[in-house]
Amino acid sequence: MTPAAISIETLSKKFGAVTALDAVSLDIRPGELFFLLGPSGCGKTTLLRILAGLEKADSGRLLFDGRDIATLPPHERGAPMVFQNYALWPHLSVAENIAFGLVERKVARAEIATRVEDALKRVDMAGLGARSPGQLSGGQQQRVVLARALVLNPRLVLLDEPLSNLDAKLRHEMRDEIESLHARTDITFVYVTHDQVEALSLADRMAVMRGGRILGLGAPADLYHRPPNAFCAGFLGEANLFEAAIESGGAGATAAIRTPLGAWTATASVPVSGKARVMVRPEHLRPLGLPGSLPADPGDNVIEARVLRARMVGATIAVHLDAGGTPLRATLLNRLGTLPAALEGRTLRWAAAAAETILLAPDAP
Amino acid sequence: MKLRIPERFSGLPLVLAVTFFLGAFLVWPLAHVFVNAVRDPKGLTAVYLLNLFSNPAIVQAMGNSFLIAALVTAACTAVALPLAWLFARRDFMGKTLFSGALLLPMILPPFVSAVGMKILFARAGALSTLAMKLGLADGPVDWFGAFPLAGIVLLETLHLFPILYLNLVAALANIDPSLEEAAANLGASPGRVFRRVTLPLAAPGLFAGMVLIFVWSFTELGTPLVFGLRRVLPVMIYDGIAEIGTNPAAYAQVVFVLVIAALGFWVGKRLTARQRNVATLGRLSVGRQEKRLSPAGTLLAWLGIGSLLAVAVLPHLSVLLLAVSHRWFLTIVPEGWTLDFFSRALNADLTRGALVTSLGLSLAATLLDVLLGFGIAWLCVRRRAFGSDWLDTLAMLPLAVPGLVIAFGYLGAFGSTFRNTLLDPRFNPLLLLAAGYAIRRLPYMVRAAHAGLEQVSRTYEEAAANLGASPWRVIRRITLPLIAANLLAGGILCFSFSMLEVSDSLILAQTERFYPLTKAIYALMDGLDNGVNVAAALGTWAMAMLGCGLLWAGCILGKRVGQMFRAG
Repeated sequence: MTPAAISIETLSKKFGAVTALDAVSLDIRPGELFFLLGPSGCGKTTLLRILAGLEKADSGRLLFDGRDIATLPPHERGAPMVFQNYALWPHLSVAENIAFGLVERKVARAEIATRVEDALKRVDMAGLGARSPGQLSGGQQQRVVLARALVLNPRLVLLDEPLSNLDAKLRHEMRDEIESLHARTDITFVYVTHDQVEALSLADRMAVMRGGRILGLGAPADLYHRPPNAFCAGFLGEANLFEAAIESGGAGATAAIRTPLGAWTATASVPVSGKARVMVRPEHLRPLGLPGSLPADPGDNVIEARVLRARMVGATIAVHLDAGGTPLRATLLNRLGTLPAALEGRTLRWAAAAAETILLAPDAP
Repeated sequence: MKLRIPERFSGLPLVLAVTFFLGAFLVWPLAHVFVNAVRDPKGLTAVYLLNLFSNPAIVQAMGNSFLIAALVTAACTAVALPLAWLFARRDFMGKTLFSGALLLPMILPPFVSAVGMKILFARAGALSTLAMKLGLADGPVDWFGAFPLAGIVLLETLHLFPILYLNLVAALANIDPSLEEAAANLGASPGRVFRRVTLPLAAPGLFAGMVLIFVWSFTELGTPLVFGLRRVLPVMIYDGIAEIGTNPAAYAQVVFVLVIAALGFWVGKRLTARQRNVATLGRLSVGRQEKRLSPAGTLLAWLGIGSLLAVAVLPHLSVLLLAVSHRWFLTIVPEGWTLDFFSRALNADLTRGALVTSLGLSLAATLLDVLLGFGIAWLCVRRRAFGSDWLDTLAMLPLAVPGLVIAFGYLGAFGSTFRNTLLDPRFNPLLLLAAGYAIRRLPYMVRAAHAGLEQVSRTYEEAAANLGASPWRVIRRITLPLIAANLLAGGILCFSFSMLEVSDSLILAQTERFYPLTKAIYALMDGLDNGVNVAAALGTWAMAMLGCGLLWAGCILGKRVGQMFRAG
């Protein structure tokens, strides 16, 4: 296995009485597009700023390519950052902004000119170098900030919620742009966001954080489908959660469990025993007996539930169910055959595959 | 049927009133000065203006004035820049206390403190005596007598550096922290970050503040007068007052001063306009976390600020010492102590009259300013009424016009037109003094009201109107109570600075009966029978009043007190 580009070892940071990071350990691999995801106040931005050297950790070790850099000042880290509010200097032109780091590295004038030109081209901004940042749209400013970081040919780029100031349409465009910029290089990207869609759609791997700790670490699909705990399950998407008592199994792949809805078979992603919680994603709850729907597989967990409410939300229909007193949610594809009004009030049978019924470890306090 | 005036024009009476007031008491006197500088019995002439540059005495005076202004500006920058950086970027114990104390040097016009310093540094003064006792000097040395320029620069620097400091702290605080972080992140060392990002971004504020200091010290009349340096432009003008009707040379000198001041103001305004564009790019990302100084750094900061403050309050201390000293001649400390001078300052006819006059005039000027300032700001911010832009420009104009110029203009224009009426300063200067005080402080008041109105959401007023309050009732019940603090703070500043107004008072009050505080102090300085001590006691009273005023305003405004002294 290749050595980690960044090794974070039991890093802790407090602001007064508030714990921003609580002994966080993490390895980020070279060339990875790595996401730090979590709600505001979870410590993700603090961790990024410690990587940039803009904050100092109280304790712990920080290694870039095996070298301890905890005491290195920000300007010697070589980890250009894309700031949330862009931080484009208003007294410098676009080209001067991009050239800033090269000037600090004492690159020859002629080389700076060509590299700035290339960087502008790389982000589709050729010819706009003479503008002042104030004359650019939000999306263009975002491109300049990216160019300012990439022009240095760094090993590592840090991105702090880079898309949070853009409207929805631009956000989609820039998301694709960042993905293709990353794909064309072997630069390690560490990307902070609170938007799970951004993380799920872009990340090679991600860390889900809360309260200064990493609660989930892995590839997006793994974390989404087999979240280790209820927080990750809920933060990455919608989830039906309910209590479960484990009757047998639990340490291996499948377990027999007792839930308020009956005896089920579930998949354990992490070893659990005794009492636990079980999760079924709404889109994994399939209606049976509707025109075009598949029959239940043997081994599926099947329940009976009444449709309280069905609402069309575009490509899908959000369905609220009542399963003998337990509220559930299901998500159906929006097809002509399943009009929401025709569903409401009906009692149907629903199936969830055992592989998609996931046992979770009890949440950390 | 009730006549309805369109809202856009509803402020017209106020616009007209303010225009008339500023026209009569600002524009007309200035026009009078201009006209007289280029007119002789035969018609128009440029000869007086050209004479400015051929008369060696005037050229020397100009040179001295420029030199003083340049040195004061440089010294203020050297003091204020590191100080502002320290207070804007670092945190240390006692910071709040120190930042308040740094405003103290402003509480006394330098010419009053010059009285104390002159004694302290005089031939028979404490320092000279100390030097002789220590064997450092053979005979008595008159420090500032030998180098009056040095004394003037020192005192004006100590008086003015807080203004530049306030401007700079505001400019530095306006810089988004991430702009500096980004520079460090891309490889700039702390020194390089300061040079390539911090300084360029703060430069407009720095230059604008420097311009303010330059113009202020260029037109300062009191300090050179006390130090006996006659060859500076303001003193030359002051000396020319006696022959104001017969000799147009003084008019030409005033025009020159005005042109310099207006030029400076124009530059300052352009620079701050640019700064505003810079500051409004993007929103501030995060609150700045000021770095905490290490214990050694804190000690160093204390030492630096402490010694600066010690030097800065030395003039004030010397005034206080002078006020309580009985016989202070060729000794290091006074031979005896007394509180007599304080009671004499309150009981003698001249001084008590001056106190009463100054109190009355300042009160009148302040009331006028609060009224006008609120009216102008309200029309500009809330109504965007017809003529409000014009009003705003007009109200800010006095910033560019030195008090010296206004006073001289009054003397020339009103003195010759309204001879022996209440508008003739030689007959009775009170009305013109009040008008002069009010005009000079109007910009500060407009700013205070402006800031208040911008902080108060319009929806409060809309809700009141929605519930049935007429426009007047809305102002009385909602607007005024909400911005009362701003008006009060602005009013306190107006009042305090009117109490110690120098140039208007020295020039316009010509008979003892009408002397305001500062002129009384000036008159007492050369007086017999411990006149200097009484003058110092009077200065101490004034200092106490002004200090309380500033402190009070500071408590109300908090950090925003700096806004009042912005250059543009």
